[in-house]
Amino acid sequence: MSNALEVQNLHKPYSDFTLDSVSFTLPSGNIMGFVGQNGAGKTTTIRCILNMAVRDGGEIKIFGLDNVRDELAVKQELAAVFDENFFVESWRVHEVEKIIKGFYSKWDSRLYGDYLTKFELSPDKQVKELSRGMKLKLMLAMAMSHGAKLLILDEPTSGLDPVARDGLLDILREYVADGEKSVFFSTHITSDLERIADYITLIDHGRIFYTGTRDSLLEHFCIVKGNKTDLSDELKRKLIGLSVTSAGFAGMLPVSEMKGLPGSITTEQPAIDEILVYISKGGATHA
Amino acid sequence: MHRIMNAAKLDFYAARSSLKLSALMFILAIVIGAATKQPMIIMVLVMVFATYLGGTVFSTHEKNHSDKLYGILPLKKTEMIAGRYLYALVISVPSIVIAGVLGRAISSILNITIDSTTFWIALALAFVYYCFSVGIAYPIYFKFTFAKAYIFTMMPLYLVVLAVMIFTRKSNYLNNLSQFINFFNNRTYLAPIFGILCGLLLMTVSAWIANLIYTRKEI
Repeated sequence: MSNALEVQNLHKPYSDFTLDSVSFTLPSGNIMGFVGQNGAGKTTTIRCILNMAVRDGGEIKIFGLDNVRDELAVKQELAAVFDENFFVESWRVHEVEKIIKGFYSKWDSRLYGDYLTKFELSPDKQVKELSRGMKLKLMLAMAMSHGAKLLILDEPTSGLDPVARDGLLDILREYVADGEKSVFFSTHITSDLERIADYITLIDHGRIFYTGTRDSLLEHFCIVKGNKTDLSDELKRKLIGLSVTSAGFAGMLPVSEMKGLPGSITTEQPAIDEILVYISKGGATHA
Repeated sequence: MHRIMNAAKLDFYAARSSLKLSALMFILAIVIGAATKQPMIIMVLVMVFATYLGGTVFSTHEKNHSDKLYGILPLKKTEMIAGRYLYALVISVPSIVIAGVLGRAISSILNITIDSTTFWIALALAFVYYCFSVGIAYPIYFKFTFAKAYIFTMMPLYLVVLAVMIFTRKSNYLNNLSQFINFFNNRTYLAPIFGILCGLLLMTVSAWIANLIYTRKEI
């Protein structure tokens, strides 16, 4: 299976934050959710992928091509959608095509028209007259009308109502249905991931905490709970996001570290948002 | 080259709504020119106002976050910059034509005679001013964004006024000016060529500086 996106040891320092050795791979034909709390480095990573921010180290390949050296070829094959509309508000929906299509060698006007119909976007409306959800659909129509094989979305569902979010997830699912196209999307709404993501990459404070399939993520960690007397120093060191109350303790543990736990400790499989919460609390690191 | 043309087209569409305001600016230029009975002032003012139109494209992109669009389009930063300067040159063409037509029309209405050499020199200098103004403002906008650097929009005008003041104090201004006009007296055709070449040179230097600034900047 070829890879749509490969990020290796991406390094990008800022004065107050550093993307450090960020590595992950998205195989073609899949959807990868890129999760982390606000400020974890999701948008910076995406900006590096799009060469909007200059990386200081590492390598980013899109369909095997370097994202900087082969920028023009790469950008013919990818599309991006941000949480914020990037069209001029005074443009009309039909004008967006007139302005944008010249940049793409494989622009398909019929497809763009089909998407406008499907998304119920009136060609004569101005961008400023569209709701947030409709603006997102306009960006998607543009993104999907030039044969892009990789769709990158930065927090696309934030600010959308549940119905619009559901509609977006359906669009993404249809988009990858042919098995050739891939989607990489950042979010902090974990329920979206549970519904459509094949792969998940967790980022925390500029470092990758986990990357792999969604199923193995859920099998990879467990939540452990027990009495304070069960909490040994060794266990304390291993636990991620340990919290201790008068009633006992709770924390997350990689399944590989479960050997030798006292029988009085209970374990349960975490949901993705629970994993995020435990990561955000800090504690033991996990490669 | 087609990507640069497309980038210029994108800029044109982005700034289109503010271009409609240009008609109002041109009316203001006519009023000032007519009130002072100086048709040549109209020509210069039209080009001064045109520099505002050249700058509004930055403001539009910043307000609409459409700078991000450049980050996803198959377009190099150098091509985006070239497109922005091409856009500035394209909007200068109707502006200079309007400046010339208005200058001639108002001088005819006010019954003021402008000889051909003076007319072409004024038009050439108006175009050079436009290029100088855009040439100074664009790299500043690329570096600091329009919202932060708007104050510098008037800087080229202040620089020109300052230069004229220094020039007139330290030299025989009228003598030099008449020498300058005399040079073109029998070579009127050289005035527009002089204007175009000077203007393009200024724009080229400015685009080179903008390139140095913007290619290092993160979008």
